[in-house]
Amino acid sequence: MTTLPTLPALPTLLVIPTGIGCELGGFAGDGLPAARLLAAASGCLITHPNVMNGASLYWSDPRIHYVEGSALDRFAAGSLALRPVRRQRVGLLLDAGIEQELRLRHLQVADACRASLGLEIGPVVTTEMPLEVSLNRGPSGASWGQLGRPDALLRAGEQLRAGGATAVAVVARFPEDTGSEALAAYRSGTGVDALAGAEAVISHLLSEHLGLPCAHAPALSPLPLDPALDPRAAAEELGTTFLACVLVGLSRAPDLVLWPPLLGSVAADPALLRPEAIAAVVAPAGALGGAAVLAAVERGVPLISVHNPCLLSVTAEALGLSLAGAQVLPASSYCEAAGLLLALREGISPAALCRPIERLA
Amino acid sequence: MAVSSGLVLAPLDLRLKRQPGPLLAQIQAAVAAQGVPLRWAITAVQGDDLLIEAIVLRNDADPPAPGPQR
Repeated sequence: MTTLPTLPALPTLLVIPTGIGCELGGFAGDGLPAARLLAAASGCLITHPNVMNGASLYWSDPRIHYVEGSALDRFAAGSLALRPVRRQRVGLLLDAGIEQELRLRHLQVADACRASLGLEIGPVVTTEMPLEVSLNRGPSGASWGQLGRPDALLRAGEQLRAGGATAVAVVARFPEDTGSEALAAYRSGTGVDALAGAEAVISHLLSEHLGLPCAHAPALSPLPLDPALDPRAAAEELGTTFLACVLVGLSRAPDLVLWPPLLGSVAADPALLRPEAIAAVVAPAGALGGAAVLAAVERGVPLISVHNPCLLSVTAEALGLSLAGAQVLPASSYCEAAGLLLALREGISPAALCRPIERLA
Repeated sequence: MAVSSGLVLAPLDLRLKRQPGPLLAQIQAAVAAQGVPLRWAITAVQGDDLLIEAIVLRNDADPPAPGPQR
């Protein structure tokens, strides 16, 4: 059988913002199949934990780079490069507010990942005091959150870094409201992930302060069985923690390298994934107002705007992106987005695949 | 930012009238005027007005710039 040469990869950003109720990707790692498809089409996909985290479920693919949201923003803006690694040493940061039995569950998940997956995990640091996570919503209905003790989070992170951790998995105790309408809506597939905003705040805060790959898993008590559980939310109800996917994702998350570098030797590293190599960004058509998308588009990166309904209507038209010179390629699904990525990777003009096709003169 | 017990997270709702030119710098400047930007997004567009939800990091000792808090 003849083997065709492999085309160079097309480094692609995949953004599915968390906490805005995206129909695909707004639940429990239900964006993973789309990520796998886009990774196959592009050969190199850079995406954030919300897309990849399915609590007890995960998928490890060498073509997918797991990059925390704020680091993804900075990569898109050109102030970070990414260095793929064979393995990270994942420090575990536990909120002092987690009760003893639930804390032990998390430590056992970490042990399981060490023994059965070969991950390098440690040290373990507990915050000096409870982090006091609270949840709220913005005027748009998007999920946000707060920490009562951000200083405790940062000091614990510093301890982990000083102890040799090269990535940090943080577990914060989240408030319970098992009878809430918001939770019922989420479990039935109609609502917004109420935890998402606080989770993003925690990981953004830690990642920016430490300069390390970071990701977050909430600590919550298991929910009672729900026969009407939506498949997209099901992954979060398989076990007692949300931690396994975070540990797997971080175990091969790329190092974050300041860009442009001060040292020429860093710039010459052939393994680096440089921000100027970003060749496409894929995002929901109504959620284009985030830092990564705007940064990429303003640097001339083509945007594949995918029909993926959510709370927001911040579209390319509303933002005037095309008028500002951005190349915006609409896609009706992630399947179509994959086709567009293949076209870009093969050097095929997307316009040639659409009808009608206008004359040049 | 130095880690002190006075660190607080402050949620914001901003209305920014967009000016000609790239949006990113305009938004970053507006959010940064209120504290160290942690996370933000445009959540609605009303004509030339951008509605932005954000969260910034501040030190309790530093007074915020005038602007709408949530």
